[in-house]
Amino acid sequence: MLRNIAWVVVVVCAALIQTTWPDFLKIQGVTPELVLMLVVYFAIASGEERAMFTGTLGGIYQDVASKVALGHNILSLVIVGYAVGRISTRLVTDHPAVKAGLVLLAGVAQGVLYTLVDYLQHPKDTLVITTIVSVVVPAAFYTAVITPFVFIALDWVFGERKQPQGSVT
Amino acid sequence: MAITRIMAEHRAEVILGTLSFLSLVSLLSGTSATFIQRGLTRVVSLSSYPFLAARTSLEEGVGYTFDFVGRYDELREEADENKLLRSRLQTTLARGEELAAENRRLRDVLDFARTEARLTLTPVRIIENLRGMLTIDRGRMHGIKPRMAVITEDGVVGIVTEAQDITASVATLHHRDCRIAAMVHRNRIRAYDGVVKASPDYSYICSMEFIDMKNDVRLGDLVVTSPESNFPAGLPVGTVDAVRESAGALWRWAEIKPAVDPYALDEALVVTRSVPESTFLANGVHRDTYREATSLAPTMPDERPIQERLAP
Repeated sequence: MLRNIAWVVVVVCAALIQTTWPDFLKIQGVTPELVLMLVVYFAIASGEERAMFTGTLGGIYQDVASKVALGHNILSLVIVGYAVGRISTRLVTDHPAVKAGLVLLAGVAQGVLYTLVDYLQHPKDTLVITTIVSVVVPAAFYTAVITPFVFIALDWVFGERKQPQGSVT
Repeated sequence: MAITRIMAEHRAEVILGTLSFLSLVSLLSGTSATFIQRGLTRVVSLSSYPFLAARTSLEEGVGYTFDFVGRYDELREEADENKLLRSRLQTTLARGEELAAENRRLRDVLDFARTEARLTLTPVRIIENLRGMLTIDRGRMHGIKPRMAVITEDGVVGIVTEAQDITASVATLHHRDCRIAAMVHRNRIRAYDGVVKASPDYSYICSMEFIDMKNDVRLGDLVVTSPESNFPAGLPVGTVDAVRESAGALWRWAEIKPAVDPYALDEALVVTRSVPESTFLANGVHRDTYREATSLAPTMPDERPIQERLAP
């Protein structure tokens, strides 16, 4: 129960921090995707179900904050959460670089999906290639760079502490 | 049963399909004012308010601390500029108040001048004030002559004693050179010498001496100019402040408190011409009825000590 409450609080805070990211922390106008980072984390730690629900909750906040049609962010995050959840079952290493790489790929995938949906809604106003090159990829890189630090903090909050196991001889 | 078993086995895919389907339906409908969206917007707003309020407070606190250290010099310069601006504003405000007070005084003088159509009045400014002798900013070139009356809307100020080219001296009732023919307004009683004059020893300001013992002069009586004086008759000179008599004497004398305080004056009016009141009431104001505003009273005996009279 407490764990679920902590999960809700963390996801909501991440969504709010992302939508109110300070200007002096932006790089070339790019902000990191904190909600996507949580989706990948929970995909690795708890599986695709938790990841999809994280994407849904975070996506709702992002859609309401950015005043786009409800479902825009949710769809991309849910799909990415399912995919990463599936991929993570095949991961054999716990190296932070691998996780950062996974976040990078997830960021690019989520950005491409988001841009495509945007293009389908507003074909005349959306420049797909330009958006992917100038916004999606830099944001994915920014997100990947701060991933290790955020994952360490999330491990401290959600990580299961291994109980010492006695043995009977 | 088979369906529930399939759903249990492929739970993740079912969730994915459900969420994707709902998202697509919302995207395709494209309406932003649906009940669900309004409700979600409300929930998001309410739940995010504490966070946003805390963030704003934190930003303000960090900004304040940063400004305290980082912008110290800039803030210090700004404070110095504000001090300078404040002193300038205080000076401007004081000047404004002074101008407003001057404006009120000049309006009073103007209103008085308009009510006295039979008098030709020259407004003057007091430029010096020393021991009851005033210096005004008008002189011979402006038509000022000795023995002309100086008045304000409150009453008598004094008499012009000397007129230079561009300035003139005015003796007020605080100066011993000033003598003004006056009477008690209530019963027109005059002193034996008919004048109000300044105190010789500064024990009081001015007095009316040689009042007959039989004459009724009381405390508070208004003393006004008499028709024999330079001044238009009936102008307030002062009020009786005390009535004194010596045992066995035939005369009484009254201390007079002047109506006008010369030490609080900034402007005054010099009577350069006047029309006799009877003429004014009968004929109105005509150029040929104007006369010089000088005294009609007979020359008073010289009361100075003999040494002063014969001094070289």
